Amino acid sequence: MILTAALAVPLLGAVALAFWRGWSQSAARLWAIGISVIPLVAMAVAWWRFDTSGTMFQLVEEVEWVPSLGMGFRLGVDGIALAVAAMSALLFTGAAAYPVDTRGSARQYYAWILFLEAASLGVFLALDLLLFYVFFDLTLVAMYFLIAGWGHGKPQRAALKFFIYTLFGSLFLLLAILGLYLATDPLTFDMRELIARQPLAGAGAIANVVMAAFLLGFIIKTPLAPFHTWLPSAHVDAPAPASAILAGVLLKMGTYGLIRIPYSMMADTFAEWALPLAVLALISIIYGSLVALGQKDIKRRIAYTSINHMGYAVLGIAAAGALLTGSEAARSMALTGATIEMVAHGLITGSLFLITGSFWQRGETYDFAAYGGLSAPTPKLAALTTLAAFASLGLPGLAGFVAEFHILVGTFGVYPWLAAIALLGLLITAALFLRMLQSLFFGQLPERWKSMPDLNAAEFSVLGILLLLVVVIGVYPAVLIDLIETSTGWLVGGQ
Amino acid sequence: MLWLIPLFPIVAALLLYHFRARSRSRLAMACSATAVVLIELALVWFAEASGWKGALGWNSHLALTIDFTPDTFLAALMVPVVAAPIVFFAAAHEEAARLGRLITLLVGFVGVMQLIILARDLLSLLIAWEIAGALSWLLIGHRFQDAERGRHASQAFLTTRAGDLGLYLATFIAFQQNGNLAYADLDQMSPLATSLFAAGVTLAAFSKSAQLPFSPWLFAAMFGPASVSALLHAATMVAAGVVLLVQLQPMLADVSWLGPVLISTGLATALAGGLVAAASPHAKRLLAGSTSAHYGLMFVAIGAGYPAVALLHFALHALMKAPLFMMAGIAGHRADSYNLSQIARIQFPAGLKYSSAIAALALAGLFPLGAAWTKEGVVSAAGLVTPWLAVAVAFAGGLSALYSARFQCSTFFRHSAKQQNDAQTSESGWQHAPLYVLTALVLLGSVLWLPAVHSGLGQWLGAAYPDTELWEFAISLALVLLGLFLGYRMVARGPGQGERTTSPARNVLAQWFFLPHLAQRLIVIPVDALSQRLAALDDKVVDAGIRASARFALWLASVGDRSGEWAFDLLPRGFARLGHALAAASSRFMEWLSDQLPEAPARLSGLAGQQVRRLQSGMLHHYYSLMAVGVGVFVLTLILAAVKGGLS
Repeated sequence: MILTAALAVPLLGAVALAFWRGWSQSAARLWAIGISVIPLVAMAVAWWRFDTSGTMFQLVEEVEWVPSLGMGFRLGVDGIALAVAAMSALLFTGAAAYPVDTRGSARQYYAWILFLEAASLGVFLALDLLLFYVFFDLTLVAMYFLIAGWGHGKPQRAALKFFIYTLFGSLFLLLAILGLYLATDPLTFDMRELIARQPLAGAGAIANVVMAAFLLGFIIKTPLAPFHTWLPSAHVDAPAPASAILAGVLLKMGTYGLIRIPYSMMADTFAEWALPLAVLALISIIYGSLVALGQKDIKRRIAYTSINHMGYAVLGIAAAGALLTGSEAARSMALTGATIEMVAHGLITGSLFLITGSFWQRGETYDFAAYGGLSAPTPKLAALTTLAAFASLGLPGLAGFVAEFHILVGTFGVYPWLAAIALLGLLITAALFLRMLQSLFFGQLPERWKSMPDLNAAEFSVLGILLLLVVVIGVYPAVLIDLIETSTGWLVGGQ
Repeated sequence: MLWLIPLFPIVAALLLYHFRARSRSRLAMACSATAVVLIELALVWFAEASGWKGALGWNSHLALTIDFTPDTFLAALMVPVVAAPIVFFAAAHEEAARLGRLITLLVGFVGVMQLIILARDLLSLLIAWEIAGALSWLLIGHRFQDAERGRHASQAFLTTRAGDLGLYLATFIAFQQNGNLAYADLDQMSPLATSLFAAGVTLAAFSKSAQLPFSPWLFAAMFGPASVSALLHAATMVAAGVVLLVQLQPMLADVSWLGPVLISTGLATALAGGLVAAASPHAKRLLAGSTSAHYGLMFVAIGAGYPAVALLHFALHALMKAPLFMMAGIAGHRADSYNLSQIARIQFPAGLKYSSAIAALALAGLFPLGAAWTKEGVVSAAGLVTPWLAVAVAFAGGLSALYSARFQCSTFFRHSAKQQNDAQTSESGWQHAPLYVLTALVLLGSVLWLPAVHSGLGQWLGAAYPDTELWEFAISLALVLLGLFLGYRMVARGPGQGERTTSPARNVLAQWFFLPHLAQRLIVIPVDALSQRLAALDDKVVDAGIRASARFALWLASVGDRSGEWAFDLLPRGFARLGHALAAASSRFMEWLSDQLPEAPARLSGLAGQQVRRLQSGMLHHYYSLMAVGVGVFVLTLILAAVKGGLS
C-alpha cells in the first residue's frame, strides 16, 4: 500500500487544489509542502523495509486489470528505483517549499507541481511497462503547463519545443514498448516477467529495430548530444523549481528507463549497442562541458552541465551492459556509479537551479557578468553556491565525485580509452564552475547590488538539506551503495 | 580510531568558526587555533604509540584505509609542528575582516593534509588530494574584493587538477589490475601497467609539488595572504607530491625510466626555480621560486633512490620556509609592497632580522644548519648517478644561497635609506613569537650533522644515506659562499632590485620563462574559442530544432484534422510523412549549415517565431491530435495482441 499511497496522495492533493477555488497563496503553498512530505515519508519507510539481501523487486503491489492481455496495475521497487524515487520525492518537497513568484495563480501552480510529483514517482515505481509509459507521458503534460504558465522570457515557445521534442521521443518509446510486448508469449507488460524472459533474445533485425527505438526515446529524454537542443531553452525559461525538477527528476527518467528496459529486458542486444552508446555518451560529456563553458548565462551554463553529467551516467550504463559475462567487478561499479550519478545529479543540479531562482528573484537576470562581489552582501548564498558548484565539478567528499569515480573506474575496466578521454570533462567542468563563481562572488560589488538580501530561511533550509545529503553521500556513500548494489548484483551478475 | 587524526582538525576548525569567528581578541583566536593544532600533534603521537588504525568500506570493492609507517609518522608530526606557529601568526597578523574564515580553512587544511599522508590506498589519497586543491582555491581567493585573486586562485586549482587527472588514471589502472586500490598490492601489477601507473602518479606529484612545467601556479598562489603561502609551501599542498612519491618509490623501483625522469625534471626545476627566484623583484615570488627549486631537489633524491633524504629535506624545508614567509608577510605589510627595494627602506626590530637571517642561511644551505646536511645528501645521491649531476645540484644550491642572501640583505643592510614607518608601531612582541619558535627549531635541526642522530634516524626510517665525498662537500660549500657573496653584491649595488624590469633576461625569469603565457596561448585561449564557437553553433541548432519541431507539430495537426479517417489508413501514411518531414528538415539544416551561417540567425528566429505563433493559437488542439495518434497506436496493438492471443 505504501507505494500506491506515494502516488495517490499527491494526485488527490492536486485534485483538491484544482477543484476547490478557495485557496489563498500561502494556504496552497503550505498544502503542497505538507502533501509532498507524505511520499517522502513513504519512500523513507520503503527504504527502511527494503531487504538488501532479498529479491530484486520488493514491496510489490499488484492488481490485475486485463489478465488476458497481461495488463495490470503493478508497483514495486528495486534498489535503483528506490534510490531515484526517494531523491525525487525529496526534490519535490524542496521545489514546493522554495519561494517562487506564482503570479497570482498559486493554486494552479501547486496543483501542477503535485500532479507532476505523482506522475514522476509513477515512472520510477511502475513495474508494468504500460503504466510506465502512461506516467512517462503524463510528466510532459504537467511540465508543459508549468513552463508555459509560470516561465519567463519566451515561456510558451520553450514549453512547446520541450513538449513536442520529448513527445516525439516518447512516440518511439511507445512503438518500442509495443514491439517488445508483442514478442511475449503469453502476453504481458509485467516488467519482472519481461526481465526474466528476455523476449527478443536472438530475434535479429526486429530486436535491433526495437532497441534503436528505445535508445532514441530515452536518449532524447536524458538528453545526450545531439538530441539535447530542447533542454537549454526549456531550462532558461522555466521557473526555478520547475527547472530543478526538470533536471533533477525528469532527466533521470531517460537513464532510469535505459537501465530498466533495454539494459534489463534485452541484455544481449544492448551489449551489441553498448559501444556506440558509450561513444555518444563520451561526446556528450566533452561537448556538454565545452558548450557550457561558452555560456554567459548562469542557467544555460548549468543546463549544459546536465548534458555532461548525464553523459557520465549513460557511459556507466553502457559500460555495465557491454558484456554478458566477465569483468563483473568493473561493470558492477559502472552501474552503481550511474545510479549514484542520478541521485547526486538530482540533488546537486536541483540545488543549483533553485539557486538560480534566488538570483532571478533578486536581480531579474541570469547574466553573470551583471553580478560581482556578492560574497560581501550575501555570504550564505555565496557559501552554498560554492558548495554546490564544487559538488558539481566532482570534488571528493561530495556526492558527484563518488558517482563519477565509480563510473570511470568501472568504465576503465571495459573501455579504457573512453574513460581516459572522459577525464578531460572533469577539468573543463572545473574551469566553467570556477569562472562562474569568480564572476558572481569576486571583485568589486556593483552599486545596484549593495542591498541584495541574503538567502531567507526557506531558501537556506531547502538548499541546506539537499546539500547536506550531498555531503553525507560524499563522505559515507555506503548508505546509498548498499541499496543500489542489491540491484546491480542482479543486473550484472545474474544474467 | 585513526580517523580522528584527519577529522579532528576539520571538526575543530568548524567549531572554531562557530564560536570564535566574531571574537575581537586576536590573542584568544591565536591561542585557540594553535591549541587545536597542538592537540592534533599530541593525537598523532598518541595514535602511533597505541597503534590506531582506520578503515571505512564504501562498497564491496572499495575501502578507505589509513595507517602509519615510519615515513608517514614523521611527515604527520611535521605538519602540525609547522602549522601551529603558522595559524598563530595568521591570527596575530592577518587583516581582521573574515579572519575567522581564514583560520578555519588553515586549521582544516591540516586535517586534509594528514589524510594525504596517512592514506594507505589510492582512493583515500585521491579524496584528500583534490580537497587540498579546493581548499587552496578558497585560501588564495581569500580577499574576494579583488577579481584578480579569483583568477589566480582558479589558475592554481586548474593547474593542479590537470595533474590530478594523472592520479585518477593511475587509480583506474590499479583497480583494473588488482581489483582494489591498496598501496600494499601495487607491486603486483603487470610491467606495462606499472609503467603507466608511475606516469600518472608522477604527473600528479609534479603538478602538486610545482615542478616544471606546472611551477608557475605557485606564483598565482602568492595572491593569498602570507600565512596561506607559508602553510601551502611549508607543510601542506606542495608537500603532497613529494610525500606521495617517497611512499611509492619502493614499489615503482622496477620502472626504468622513472629515476631519470624524476632526476631531470627535479634538477631542471631546481635550476629554473633558482634563477627565477634570483631574478624576482618580489619578495614572496622569490620564495615561491625557491619552493619549486627545493622540491626539485627532493625529486632528485627520490629519483636517485634515496627517498629518506627527500623526506628529511621536506621536514627541514618546512621549518625554514614558514618563518621566511612570515617575515615576508610582516615586511610586505610594513612596506605596503612586496617589492624588495621598497622593503629595503623599512626598519625592522633586531630580533626579527636575526631570526629571519637564521632561516635564510638554512635556505642557503650553509653548514652547520640542518638543511645543509639534507642538501648534501641530495648532492651525494646525485653524485652516485654521475659526478656531474652532483656538481649541477651543488650549483642549484649556490643559486639558493644567492636568492636567500638577496632576500635577507634587503631587510638588513640598507639602513641609510630606511624610513621610520609609524603606522607599524602597533605590533607587539607576542605577535612575533611564531617566528622565533620556528627559528629555534631550525637551529635545533643542526643536530642532524651529528652521526649518532642521523644514523639513528636512518635506522628508524629503515633507510640508508648516500656517502658524502669530500670533494662534493667542498664544491657545495664553495658555491654556497659564492652565492651568498653574489646575492649580497646584488643588494649592495642596488640596480635591478627595484623597478619591475631592468633587463629582458630578468624579465623572462621573473615571468617564469613565460610558461603561464604559453599555457594561456596554447590551452586556455584555444579552448575558450572552441567553447564559444560550439556555444554559438549550438544556439543555431536550437533554432533549427524549433523549426523542425514546429513543422512536425503542424504535420501532426493536419493528421488530427483528418482524425475521422480510418486508423489503419492513417498510421502508415503518417509515418511516411514523418519520414519526409524529418528528411526535409535535416537536408535543409545541412544546406543552411554550409552556406547560410552569417545571416541565418535573424531570419531564422523571425521564421521560427512566426510558425510558433501559428502553433500556439491551438495548443490544446495539437495535444489532442497527438493523443489521438497515441491512442490509435495503442488500439492497434490491442487488436494485434488479441489476434495473436486468439491464434495461440
